[in-house]
Amino acid sequence: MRWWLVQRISAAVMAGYILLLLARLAILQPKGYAAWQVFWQPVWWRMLTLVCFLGLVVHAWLGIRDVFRDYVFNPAWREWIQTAAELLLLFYLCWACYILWP
Amino acid sequence: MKVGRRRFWYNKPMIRRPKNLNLLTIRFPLNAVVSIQHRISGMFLFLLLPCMLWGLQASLAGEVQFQTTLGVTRHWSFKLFLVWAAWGFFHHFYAGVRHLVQDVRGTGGLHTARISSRLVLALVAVSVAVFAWSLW
Amino acid sequence: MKFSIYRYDPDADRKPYMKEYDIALQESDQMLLDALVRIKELDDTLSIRKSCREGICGSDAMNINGKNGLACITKLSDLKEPVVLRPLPGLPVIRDLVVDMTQFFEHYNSVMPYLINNDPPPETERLQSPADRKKLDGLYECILCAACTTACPSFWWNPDKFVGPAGLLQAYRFMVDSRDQAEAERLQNLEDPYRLYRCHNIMNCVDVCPKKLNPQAAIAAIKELKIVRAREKKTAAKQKKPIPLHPVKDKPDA
Ligand code: SF4
Ligand code: FES
Repeated sequence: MRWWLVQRISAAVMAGYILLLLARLAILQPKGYAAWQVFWQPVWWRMLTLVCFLGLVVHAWLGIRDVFRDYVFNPAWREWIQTAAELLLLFYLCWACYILWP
Repeated sequence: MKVGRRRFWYNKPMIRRPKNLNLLTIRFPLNAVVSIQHRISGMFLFLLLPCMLWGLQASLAGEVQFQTTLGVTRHWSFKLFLVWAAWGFFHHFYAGVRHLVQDVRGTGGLHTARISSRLVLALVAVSVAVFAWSLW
Repeated sequence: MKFSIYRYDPDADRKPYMKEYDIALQESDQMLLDALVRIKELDDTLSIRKSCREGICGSDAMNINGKNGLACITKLSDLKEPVVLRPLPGLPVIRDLVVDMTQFFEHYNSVMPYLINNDPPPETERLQSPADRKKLDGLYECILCAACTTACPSFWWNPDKFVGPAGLLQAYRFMVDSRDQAEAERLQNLEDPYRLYRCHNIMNCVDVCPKKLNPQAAIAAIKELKIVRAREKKTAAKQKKPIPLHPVKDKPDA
């Protein structure tokens, strides 16, 4: 039950971030590399992005887990691909951190 | 009668029987279509994650890389790909909001569900069209 | 009128096949079940289940032109020809249109579809206020025809683990019953990731129910109830108050 709820909360977090992103894009209208860099400069914005990405990773993790539970019937197999997907997502998370704080 | 292997929780041997589960013979209502597309687009977005990250990284890596990234997005074939990705995103987004609303009690009539399915499809079509238009 | 019917006899056929029928109907044949009886007169090897012929017993659910429904309350005039009749999807076929419902009823049984109340019974009956009785509307009418459960993709893929819409509807029917005392147990009963949470709001169940019930709404209500009760538990623990749940001593007649 807890994860079911987390799935929905993370969705709401991402939706909020996307609206914010669109609003910021509309207001600042970054043109060219310099403006694009300024767009990603503020620490609070990077923090928010990281929060959103965290939500995305959790959402994707739960979503893919649901898919495996629905269609992969062999428990051993399911464990394997699930672990693979989890490792992949963890890697993406590290990657995102690296992009935001090079 | 043929006797099959032991099955699930039945602790007795079961007669092997066919199942009628040919998906082509079953009619899928609009609600089911919107729902399965939500899943398909979700998997699609999952596969797109690395592309997204890679794009962000490249665009922030320096002036030259920024220009190349922009250059790539100007190519028509990549634009087509972007439109496809946009379909994945918009469908997952709108259908997801619909599923969220469905989880709230008292919003779940068959009639409303049918209407909201249509609404989702319409919104997706409009959004993708607007996106494509702004690309070209 | 033309029909195409799924035939399978485990003693004679290696594989199921579709058999075509073209029969002359009589004026009194209004419903699909009438036509099936007519066909059976000509070809008595065809097996079907039927009983009440008025949508009450739930025996003659089948897949009619791709959609699950009861033959006895499906009007012939509404059907496109040839009428394709197949057994309910996702359940083992015993013969022709008759499926093995064991799995369906095991799940039904697993949600404890009976009143659990350990107070000594009063002299007359256990009374309910009209408002409490009203909560059962749209839940108690289920005839267990299995049209919904066998229309649910989640049930097709995990028929051994997912309880299915019909079972969950009944689970909720007893959770909201003011006379029932085992709500906490019932909620706990649906805790694992398969029994309840395979439901993804696909709505096929609502689409096919011949009694116009809404299992999806009942399932959403169970999910909500789980959250509400969990929060109540948490606040009660914080305030060091006893947990506001109905106590259950032991189950009657196991
Ligand atoms: S809820 Fe409707 S479709 Fe499902 S078993 Fe009951 S009567 Fe049949
Ligand atoms: S024969 Fe009883 S429901 Fe159709």
